[in-house]
Amino acid sequence: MENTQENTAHLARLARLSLSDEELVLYASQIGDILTYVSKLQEVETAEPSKWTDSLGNPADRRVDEQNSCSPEDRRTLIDAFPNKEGDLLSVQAVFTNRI
Amino acid sequence: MKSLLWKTASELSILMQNKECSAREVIEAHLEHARQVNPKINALLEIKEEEALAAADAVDTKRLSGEKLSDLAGIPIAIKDNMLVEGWKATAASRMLENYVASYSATVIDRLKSAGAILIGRANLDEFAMGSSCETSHFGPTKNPWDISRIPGGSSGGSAATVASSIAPLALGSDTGGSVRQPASLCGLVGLKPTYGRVSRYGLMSLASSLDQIGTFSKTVLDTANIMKIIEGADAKDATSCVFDQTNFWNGESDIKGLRIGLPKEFFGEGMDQEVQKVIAEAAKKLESLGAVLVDISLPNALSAIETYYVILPAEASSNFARYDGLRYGHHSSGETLIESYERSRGEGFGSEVKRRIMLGTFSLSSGAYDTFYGKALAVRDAMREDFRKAFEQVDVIFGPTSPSVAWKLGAKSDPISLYLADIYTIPANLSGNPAMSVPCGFASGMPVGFQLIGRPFEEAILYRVGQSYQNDTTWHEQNAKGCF
Repeated sequence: MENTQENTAHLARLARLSLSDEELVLYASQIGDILTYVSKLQEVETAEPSKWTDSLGNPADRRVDEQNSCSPEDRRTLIDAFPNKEGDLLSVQAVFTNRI
Repeated sequence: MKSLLWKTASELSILMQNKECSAREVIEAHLEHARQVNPKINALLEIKEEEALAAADAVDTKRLSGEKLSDLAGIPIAIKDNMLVEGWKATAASRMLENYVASYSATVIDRLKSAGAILIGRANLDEFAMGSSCETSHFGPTKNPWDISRIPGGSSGGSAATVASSIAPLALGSDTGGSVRQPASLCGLVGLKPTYGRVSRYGLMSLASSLDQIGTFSKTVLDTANIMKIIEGADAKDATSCVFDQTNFWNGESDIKGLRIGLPKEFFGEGMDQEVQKVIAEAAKKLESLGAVLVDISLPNALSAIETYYVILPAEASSNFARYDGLRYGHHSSGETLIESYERSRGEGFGSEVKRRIMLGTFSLSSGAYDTFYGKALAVRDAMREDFRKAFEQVDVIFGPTSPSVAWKLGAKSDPISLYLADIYTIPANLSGNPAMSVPCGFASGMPVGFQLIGRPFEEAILYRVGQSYQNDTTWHEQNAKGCF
């Protein structure tokens, strides 16, 4: 399956990965080879895939989605582990860059 | 006192119970050995000497006070460095997490510590458990203790080399596509991937969440069963861990007379090294001589295992690895914008195999490719589970090779597809969720070979029964690696 450097650069952007020019050349070729290899799956006759099953193929047991708060100690540990902070506020770059 | 090295966990436990040695003596002997051997094989990324000795002293105090202790009390164990131990670095052998310190412990770690096992260090691995040779580690490759010019297998190569070199009699690994069984085979050890859900994944760094399972390394089936008794069982912190039939535990039985063992024709075709094939055939004959009935079976979709796996794994990994963005977790490199910071952090933090798989997963989950690749792979996975279900109507256990070859020379395989093919016999049990175990059964070109047993879900007891029967009648597991001494 042909995979161009342009496609690879697009994938890298979607995956939030910066690549060097050398990596772009290498990955374009390798990903093309791997996709050719895995494309053999199209030759296998199958039914529709099952939905909502666990890894053993049994119906998935969906638990209640409920919020569990953490202890003040755990909260402190997590905040302390963050590299850039002001007091208890975690400091990150601006998400939106097109605002005046 | 005789040397405390090259003993199984069960042998060491008996020595301590009989007061022939203390836990401190066991740990001191293994730490001294580790200081000499580890620089030659790079099995452990860090040895936790002070912590291990303090834990050993605590075990000795309890034993002297008459407290009843588990079989693992005082036994050294290495932990693959993708499991969290509170206060320890947890790097996944990646630059991305080079300085990450775990703020809590995995459930398996809590259970081992409660049982008195002594954690002696962090074991090397392929970066984020992506690899079959332990060569993609950011901290350098691990070498095979049988021959240090060769790879130990992967991704849990550091765990395997730790046990094969007697730095510790036990180690934990993780198995997403064979990462416990393949290095166990290549290093002459017993390696178990339990049924999906038998062991909690809480505190194991996620690679492909529908495939990952924590597994064990040891020299004997008995040690494997003993450590599993400690770490297995449902855990409220992992919704995929299961409550299973408590009556289905191994009682030590090793009689396999009349047991039906299936040999899938797909596991004995092209691609297997001829010397390995001969060793595997002899192991099958041995099981037959012990009373088992060998039955030819077919797992037709096993032939598509690699293709299926290399769609599903990258897809799940690309999603799981979004968390490593240089803000929430991992190496940070600043850019002009937030997006540029993400791209730089991830570009610098991840190694080449990780980037390759993230991009593959991003592709197969993308609009236009989703149904053709990911949807199709899920359908083949269903068909593979059905193959196993049908096979287990005919037989009690499935037998085959673990790896198509023995350990190869470091650097000998560089193209991704040839490395991916190393897991051709181990991947089906990850896709189906069945338990599987590698057992040492001989040598080819002077390097260890293992056979693989696959059982019905939660029937690890049959794997232990067959493996114990084989080890009762053979001495392959008693051979020691001498390549690093």
